[in-house]
Amino acid sequence: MNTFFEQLLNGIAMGSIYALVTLGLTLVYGVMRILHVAHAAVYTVGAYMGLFLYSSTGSLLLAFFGASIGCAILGVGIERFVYFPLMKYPPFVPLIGSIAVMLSIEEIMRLIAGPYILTFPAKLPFPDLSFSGIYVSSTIIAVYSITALILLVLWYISSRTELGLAMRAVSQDISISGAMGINSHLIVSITFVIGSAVAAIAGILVGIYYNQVYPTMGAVPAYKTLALIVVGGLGSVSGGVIASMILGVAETMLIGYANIPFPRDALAFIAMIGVLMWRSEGIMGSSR
Amino acid sequence: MVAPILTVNGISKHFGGLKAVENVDFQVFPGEILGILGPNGAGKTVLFNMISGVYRPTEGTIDFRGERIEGLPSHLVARKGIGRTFQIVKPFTSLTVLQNVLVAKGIMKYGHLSRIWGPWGSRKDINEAKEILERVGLIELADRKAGLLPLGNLRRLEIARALVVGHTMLLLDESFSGLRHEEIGRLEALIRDIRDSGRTIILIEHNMRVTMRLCSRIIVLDHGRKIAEGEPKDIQKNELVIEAYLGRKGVLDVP
Repeated sequence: MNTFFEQLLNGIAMGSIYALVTLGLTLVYGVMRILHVAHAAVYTVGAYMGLFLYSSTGSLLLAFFGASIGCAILGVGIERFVYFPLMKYPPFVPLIGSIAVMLSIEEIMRLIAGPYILTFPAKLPFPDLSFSGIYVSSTIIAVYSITALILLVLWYISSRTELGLAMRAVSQDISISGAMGINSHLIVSITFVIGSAVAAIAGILVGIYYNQVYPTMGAVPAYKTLALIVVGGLGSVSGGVIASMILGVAETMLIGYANIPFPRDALAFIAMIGVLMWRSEGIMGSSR
Repeated sequence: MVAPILTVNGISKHFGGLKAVENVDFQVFPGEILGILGPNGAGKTVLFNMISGVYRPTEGTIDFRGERIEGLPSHLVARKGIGRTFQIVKPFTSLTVLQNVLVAKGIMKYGHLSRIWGPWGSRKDINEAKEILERVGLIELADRKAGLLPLGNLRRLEIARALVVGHTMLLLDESFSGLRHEEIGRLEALIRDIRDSGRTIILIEHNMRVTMRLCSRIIVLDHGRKIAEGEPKDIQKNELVIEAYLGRKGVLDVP
């Protein structure tokens, strides 16, 4: 029974990290209608920046902040110099551009940091806990607390601030938003800043969780999060978070209990096919 | 002679080889309702899109209260006090009627990074938004999702949003199309009321009777060119207009 709970806790941790990456993708899709595949590369860069800052300064706080700022700049750069000029073409053009950016960043990281798996031997400033025999590692507590904090801040921004209202307006119609005086380009850039900073945090958390950082660490999340935003309902933040949590738990349970030779990374896609057959708009998407 | 509030000078918009608007001039004076008539594809909406900053004119200038506004992005034009509606109504469907108006209320804040992090919908903003909803007759529906409103109410909502933004001038793009007879009367009264409160209005309209009744002056476009300008009674008699737009005379015989 204890194993079950520990697996469940691991699964939720995994789901939390998926949720953090998926969030950025959902927000970007919302305001720009672009599948931002390169988001997973931003996450990889975040992990490397975090590792570099941590190993050179020894401060995790600095690693989180520095990587968030670095990735925010990278994200806005991708938006300004890749997506914005390509917006006037059909949606597959920016999508291909995004894939190109993703592969380029992977290769650049390989050139800079080498094709090795680096370790991220950080000790998070959270206690290891044990409840009646169930062991909860400090990493898991860190993942939970940081995810909860980020979700809370994002919920506040999107539902309570002028920025959130403007983001909702821009995601519904850019031309009307312009006529309402909203500088939609600024709102889109802020969305990239938020999404990319959160991706950096997710990258560092994954690095610490698995104690691994490597150039292609974004490859599997790149397509898995695409499946997740579809399952959650394109553009629906809550749907993306819920789908991520379910997938994290399902994957972990599958490895823990199923004795069938089943590739766990396929699960997200089987779920996507299933959900699309059942509800083509996703679990939280609105039907149009 | 009163100085014009908006002066459009030699404006053209070409899309590749298509001359959507070609060398159009006109002036709009404070407090008037100017009508723009013309058959489909005459360039009326393109003209609006140039004034409101959606398109940059290929040639020509637009002067609003002494400032050049051609080529400005639409959010900056909006901030100068020019509100507009769209031919195809596009409310923010997932927001309520009140929230739709509040989006427009935030207008000055969205450009300032430091000011967008604050909460939206202050007591003052909500009260002002409700006053506007009261004025356009939507106050009872304030908390309804905008996506669920019928067309007549959506047109009013569009005008409510345009009123918040357009404290100086409103551009109304076919606000009467698709409305039932009794709704047309109410909307006419609303537009007169808006003009009487001191705003200048330009409207694009297909409904001839309404245009003749509401507007103090009318310009007529055909194939992107201005073919006539004048008071409704003169436009009614203009041979060019009758030929280009109406084809037959009877339609213009307004009681």
